[in-house]
Amino acid sequence: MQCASCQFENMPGSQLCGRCGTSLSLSSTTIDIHPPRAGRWTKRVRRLTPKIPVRSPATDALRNFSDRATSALNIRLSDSTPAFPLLARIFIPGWPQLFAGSRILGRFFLFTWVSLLSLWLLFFYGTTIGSMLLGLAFSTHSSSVADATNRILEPVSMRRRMFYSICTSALLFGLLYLPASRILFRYAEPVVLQLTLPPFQPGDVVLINHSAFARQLPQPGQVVLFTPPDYRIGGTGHNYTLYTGPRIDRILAGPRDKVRWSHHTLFLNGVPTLFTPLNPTVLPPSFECTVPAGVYFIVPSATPILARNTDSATLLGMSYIALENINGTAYLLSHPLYRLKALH
Amino acid sequence: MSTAKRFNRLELVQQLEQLPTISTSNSSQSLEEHDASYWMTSADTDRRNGQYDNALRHYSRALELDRSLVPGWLGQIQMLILLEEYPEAELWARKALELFRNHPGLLAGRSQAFCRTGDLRQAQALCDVSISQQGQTAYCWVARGEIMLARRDPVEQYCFDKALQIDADWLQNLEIAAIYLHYSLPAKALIHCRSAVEKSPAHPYCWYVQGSVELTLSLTRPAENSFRRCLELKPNHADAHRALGNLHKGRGFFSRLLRRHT
Repeated sequence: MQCASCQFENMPGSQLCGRCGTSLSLSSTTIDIHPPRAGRWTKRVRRLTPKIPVRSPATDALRNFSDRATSALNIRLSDSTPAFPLLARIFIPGWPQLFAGSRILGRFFLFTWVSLLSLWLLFFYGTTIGSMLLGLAFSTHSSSVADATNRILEPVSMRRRMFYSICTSALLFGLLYLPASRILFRYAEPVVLQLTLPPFQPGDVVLINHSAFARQLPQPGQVVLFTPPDYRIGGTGHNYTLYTGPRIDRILAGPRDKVRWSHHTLFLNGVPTLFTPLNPTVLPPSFECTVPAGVYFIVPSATPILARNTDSATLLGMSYIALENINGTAYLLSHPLYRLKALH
Repeated sequence: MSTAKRFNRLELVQQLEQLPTISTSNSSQSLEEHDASYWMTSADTDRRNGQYDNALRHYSRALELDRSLVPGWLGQIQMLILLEEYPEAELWARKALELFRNHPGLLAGRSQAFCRTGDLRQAQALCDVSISQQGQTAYCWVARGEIMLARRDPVEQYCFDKALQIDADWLQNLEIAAIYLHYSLPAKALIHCRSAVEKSPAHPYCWYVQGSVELTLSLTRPAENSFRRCLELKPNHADAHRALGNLHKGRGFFSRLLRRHT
């Protein structure tokens, strides 16, 4: 019997070729020569699902489930992945994994982190939910860094793995998130308002730029966060009203400007302007003053229980704000999104 | 009026009369008369035109006539891999290996199928066995190169070079380019596409693949040239027509950006 594959002459009655092991019953048995085909949807689903190798029987699969789940995510990990390029990529979650070849894990980290950060910045910046989202984003990034570190250092014990994770999280927080948050808060610190202070409502988040006056002085018309001096009105003994704490309002006039409020119009050095306090209803019908040197004229109109009948002298006394008490510009009402508004 | 008289006036009839008469029974008879080598050649032609479904069908026709044709089994496995049907390819390679034990090409096919399903350990083991067998082919080295590529091992280029030393056919270049594309490395794929075009500038499929790779790299102008060259060589190339149409449709920044990342 001649082998169809290598043409070796075998002994009659042999099942396999003595040289190459090819089946000698090719011509006698019925062999299906049409290969199985995958359907269109099967192929689509396969493209979307991760490639999990399943080789062992079911019992082994159950026993080694966690190991194989991890290996499924790290199937492209190469032993020769260099340490430095991996470390250089830890600043973007998922990048080390993508570099090492674990695309599923890398994309998962990157997509989760970007989604959480986007949600935080766009919809929940400055709110409690926003803090939770930021925390989750940090956890995702920290997991990515811990995974990259474990790939380089390859710790054997769980205790050592946890130790590395804690260290990397602390380093990540100290080196990246803390400086980044300080920079971000310098330019966009969220201030959450708790009271109904027209035009604001409870829960509104206003963004403050603290670096606005680093190079230039405040200008009339800008909406600013400022801290007026504590002001006590009337009463005897314990019956008095104390106005204290930071406020948000518009600068109406600079040092040495002559201010006149009449017929709902502000005259600055005799010139009519469009500037009004954020809540102009608290102003008296008319008043006139000259701003002393070194201070700015800001009527704290967004002040709780500032009665309409507060006399002009009291109101003006509260409105002279020194430059050092102006903390930054308030430029955006960012939350809730349906009340999004630029403050100018 | 009889049916024959009614249709006699149609111009279609005159045109049909001018065509050489082909008897249906004769054609089916002639198809049956073709031998396995005819179907193998036909499959190879389809493969070189990128019509992998047809090639798979023709390999099956060849095997119907001669089941001992190892290139037919191997071709089926390779077509299944190129059609992204990896579990089926693995199953079919296993079946073929039951018939032709330790055949290096079939081992390499099974290894490549395992590699595509993500089982690199099995793939590596099978590839080692296939290379250690006598009569190793270029495909063994292509499969090995793919495993190296999947493992992010930089020696993959060496394996592909070795494959090209054994068989310098332009199809090898194109299939190596397809592997690079599968692993999202279009820049490396383009090098092999250009080699294929240099080797066979008269073949439209080389130009089409080169255009597709250039399009992946957002090289719209060279891609357009490649598709145009493909259409010059084969004016009814539907895929090139479609690609050129899509190219003209989305020339904006975002279209190019999305095209690059989808």
